[in-house]
Amino acid sequence: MLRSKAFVHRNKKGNVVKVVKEHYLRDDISCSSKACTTCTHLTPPILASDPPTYPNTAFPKPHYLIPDTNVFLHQMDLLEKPFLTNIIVLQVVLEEVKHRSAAMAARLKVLMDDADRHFCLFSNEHHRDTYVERLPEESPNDRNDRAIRVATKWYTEHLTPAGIQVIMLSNDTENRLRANASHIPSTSVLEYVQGLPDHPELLDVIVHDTDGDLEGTGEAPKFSYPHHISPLAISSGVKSGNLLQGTLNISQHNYLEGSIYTKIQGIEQSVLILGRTHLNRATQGDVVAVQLLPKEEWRTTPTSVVEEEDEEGKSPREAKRRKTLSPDEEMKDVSSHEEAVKSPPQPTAKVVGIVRRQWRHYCGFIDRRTVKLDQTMSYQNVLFFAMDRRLPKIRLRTRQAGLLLGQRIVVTIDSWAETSKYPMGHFVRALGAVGDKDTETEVLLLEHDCPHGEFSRKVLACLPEEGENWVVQDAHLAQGRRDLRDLPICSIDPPGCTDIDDALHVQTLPNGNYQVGVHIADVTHFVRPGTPMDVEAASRGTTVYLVNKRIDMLPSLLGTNLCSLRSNVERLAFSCLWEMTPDAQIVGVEFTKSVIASKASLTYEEAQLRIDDPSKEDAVTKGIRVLNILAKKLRARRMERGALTLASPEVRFALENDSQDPVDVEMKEMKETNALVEEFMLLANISVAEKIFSRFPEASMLRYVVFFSEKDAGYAHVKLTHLLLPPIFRRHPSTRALVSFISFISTSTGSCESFSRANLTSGLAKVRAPRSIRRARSFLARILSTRIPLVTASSLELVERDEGN
Amino acid sequence: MSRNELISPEGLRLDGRRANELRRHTAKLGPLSQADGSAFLQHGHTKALAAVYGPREPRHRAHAMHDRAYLNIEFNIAPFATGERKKRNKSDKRLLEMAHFVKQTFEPVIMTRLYPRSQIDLYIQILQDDGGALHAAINASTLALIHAGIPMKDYVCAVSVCCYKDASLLDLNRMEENTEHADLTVAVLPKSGDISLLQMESRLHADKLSDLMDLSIAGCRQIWKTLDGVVRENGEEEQQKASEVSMVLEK
Repeated sequence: MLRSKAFVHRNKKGNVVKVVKEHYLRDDISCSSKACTTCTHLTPPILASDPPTYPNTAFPKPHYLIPDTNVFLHQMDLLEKPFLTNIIVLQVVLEEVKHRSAAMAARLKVLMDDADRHFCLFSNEHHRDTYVERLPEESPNDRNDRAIRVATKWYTEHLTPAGIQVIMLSNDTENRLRANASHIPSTSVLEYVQGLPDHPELLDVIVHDTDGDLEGTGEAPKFSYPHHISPLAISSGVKSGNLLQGTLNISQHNYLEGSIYTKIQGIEQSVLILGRTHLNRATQGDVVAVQLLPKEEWRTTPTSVVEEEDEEGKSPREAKRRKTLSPDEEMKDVSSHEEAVKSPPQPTAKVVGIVRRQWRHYCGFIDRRTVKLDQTMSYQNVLFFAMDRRLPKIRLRTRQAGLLLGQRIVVTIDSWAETSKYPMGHFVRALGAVGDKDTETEVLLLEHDCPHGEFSRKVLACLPEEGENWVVQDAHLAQGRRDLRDLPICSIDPPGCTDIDDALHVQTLPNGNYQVGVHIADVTHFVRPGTPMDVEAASRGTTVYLVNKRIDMLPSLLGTNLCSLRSNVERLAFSCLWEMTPDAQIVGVEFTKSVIASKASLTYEEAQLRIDDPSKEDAVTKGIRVLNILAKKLRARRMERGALTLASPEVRFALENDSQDPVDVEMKEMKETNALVEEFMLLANISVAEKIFSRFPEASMLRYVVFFSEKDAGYAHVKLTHLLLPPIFRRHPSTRALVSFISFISTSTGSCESFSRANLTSGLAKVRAPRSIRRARSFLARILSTRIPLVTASSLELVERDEGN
Repeated sequence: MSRNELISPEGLRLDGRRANELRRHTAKLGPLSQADGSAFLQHGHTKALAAVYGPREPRHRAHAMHDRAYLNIEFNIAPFATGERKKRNKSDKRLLEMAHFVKQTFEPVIMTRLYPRSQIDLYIQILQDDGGALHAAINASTLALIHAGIPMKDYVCAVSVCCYKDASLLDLNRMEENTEHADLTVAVLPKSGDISLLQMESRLHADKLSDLMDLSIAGCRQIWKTLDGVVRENGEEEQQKASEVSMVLEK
């Protein structure tokens, strides 16, 4: 069956265009239930034939749920709880979710991909019996609601013979009334969850309708924020220049003081937004539209306003919060206040609308004073302090306030009504007791948005089947890998290192030169591009080392075993082999995939001892001595050319043996052997960079173009778009930040000379750059603390060499 | 969950087809009475009209070739064919290119050597363009040429295919065509399986080509069935008409 969809829409240029689309209706779409015998299942059905019947007093029979769009948009925290399974996601609902919130759509996709949850997609819009035409006078929303009801009805009729009930889950009262009128089983989320006596904690996870809530409690003072203007008004206002748009950044010291960084008449500058009313319900990270205040109302620095607000006399709680600032800081505030009087006033604005909310999950704790301890098991409104001090307090409605006191909990914001002083949120989950080591670690990870969950089954499925017993086979050699198993290869790493990713060797050649090799674990053999494991590793980005544990980027089978070049095991590697004169001049270089067997995994200290101990005369020891001599020469030459060294000291925690509590922090000592390894890794990167540059100059190499003319004094433009980085890093914000940072350095110092010279180091310390650049600096520091810097540093060197030529 | 997800987890495309399904296609012979042969073909919402004149005397003497007929092809897209009105110039490079593709497709198939020193005109008009204008034009031209009684080796059936992630999509509509995925238009002589046009404007991994070719040949066979059905039906109608006429004459 064929239906045409015709509608009119406005395209980018603003022209009105009529779009006519074909819409095919089918009769071969399956209900995807294992219990169904009538459908022909083209793909294996997802819904279980015997959906687990929880002791749900409201719905004791086995059933599937069909939630509507708002349930997905607002109750995602509830749906993510593992007890809800066998849910039918209608196409119409999924599309609306995608349209309304990309974040929710992404979370929903994760749920749908999880085979244990039995979430199935039903293409109701293409099903002959469930497609509904929009009636005249019917709003799109009403039409969608009707489509959900029709689909539920179809499912009910379809699955009644199989003895399965299908229930529509909706918080929309009108929708439910209409469903009842046509005998479609439906329920509200609250009703459904209340029917689960075993899970009382779930009630807190439900998002409540906030309207009218506050008057009932009588707690909120007569307080009202100004209206937000409509998105249309915002976009036209921004276009005409009446409004400014930017990302709100709240001060770390005061959550009532924010700023955005935006262009005013072509000049980038920061605009202050001060006070509760002017912030107008915007929170940290939101993209807001602001209106500049008249010049008379412009303020000098934020700090002066803090005190003014104190004078206005806010609630004692707030005053108390402000007193948590250390006396030092207060002193500073006062002194800077005095200074500020002299400085010219800064543009100040008020928020008139919010373009995009950046609400996420917040970790924090419940304010003890707001809890009425005598009524612990009934609903009460409490206030929540987020660990992130830039956030306002969040109002929560909970039944377990008593239990949650003294715990770190996760909360998310649902809404912020005009009449409510604080945003309304709901409880997501409890992390554990305040002060507990594991809890606080979890808080840190969550607050820094560090993915730290277990690897999913999909990711683990990408691991080689043999698991721990994986061995190098002849087949690997047949694929063109070179057999380097006889070479005296060793690795030098910090003590206790389990993920050995690089190893070295040196060998004297018949002509008196040396063959030097750097071997990097060949992770690409196990992690194929585009696989779930690759995607997961890319999103994690790096292995995170905490005081007493680490969060792996790759499953530990790979990270610490198959891709770890441990001694006396055969491993796959990617090798870079040089022929070098005893004077450390490179004669030739080649790259190859290889099979190696490391002869020794040494710590820096062990390697140093071997160098110093004259009685040791084995091949590995001799090799390290030679490498050490070569490294010194390489290093000296590099320094001579003005290499950039950024000292990023590594720290180590000394742990108490039993409790694993950290008792001391010590700086890692730099030994000669550290420099040895560093030097050769750097050399490998330089060689790889040269190779890539010679082969793929278009796509991969640092292109260094300096346009520098006397006319526009001090303008140097550095085009660093072709950084020698894999594409994934090129897209990474830190790389973009790095590019803007380096171009900033070169513009501010006024010459390209200084950029490539070692005084970039001092430049790093000195630059007092605008905020975006400061962020870039922290990014740069972060990049430099991982392996990437070697690449960047080497590319800097290459630049120099190019200049020399 | 990118915006241009062309195929749902359930395996349905944006308009509800599966990956290997054609759009609904219908055709009609002889919509134009003045032309020697004409055909109207509809592929989903894409509508193509083809008209054939000739073989006749060449308009310019330079076109007369002593051993074969000259094939003159004009391809045009109506201003109202797309959502946005767009008047196209006759010398529009894109149109000339399309005409050239059609010419390349038909030159080896039409028995031009039977008509030396003559010209065959083929005018193609796209009345509505919802993706696949080129292949609709080729299919319509085949019918029009058959209707004009111009000898050809075989039908020429064309279809577009696209490689999207692991799937190969058949017969793209406009939305699918507008994505960045590589799409390929293939014209096939269904009986011999010879390929008379293979046109692509982006890059495609060589490994994917054989899958795409299999799919497109299967698609062309399906189109051939439709075209053949239309031609036979038309033939029967004509025969019936002729016999009616002869009966009237006999009386």
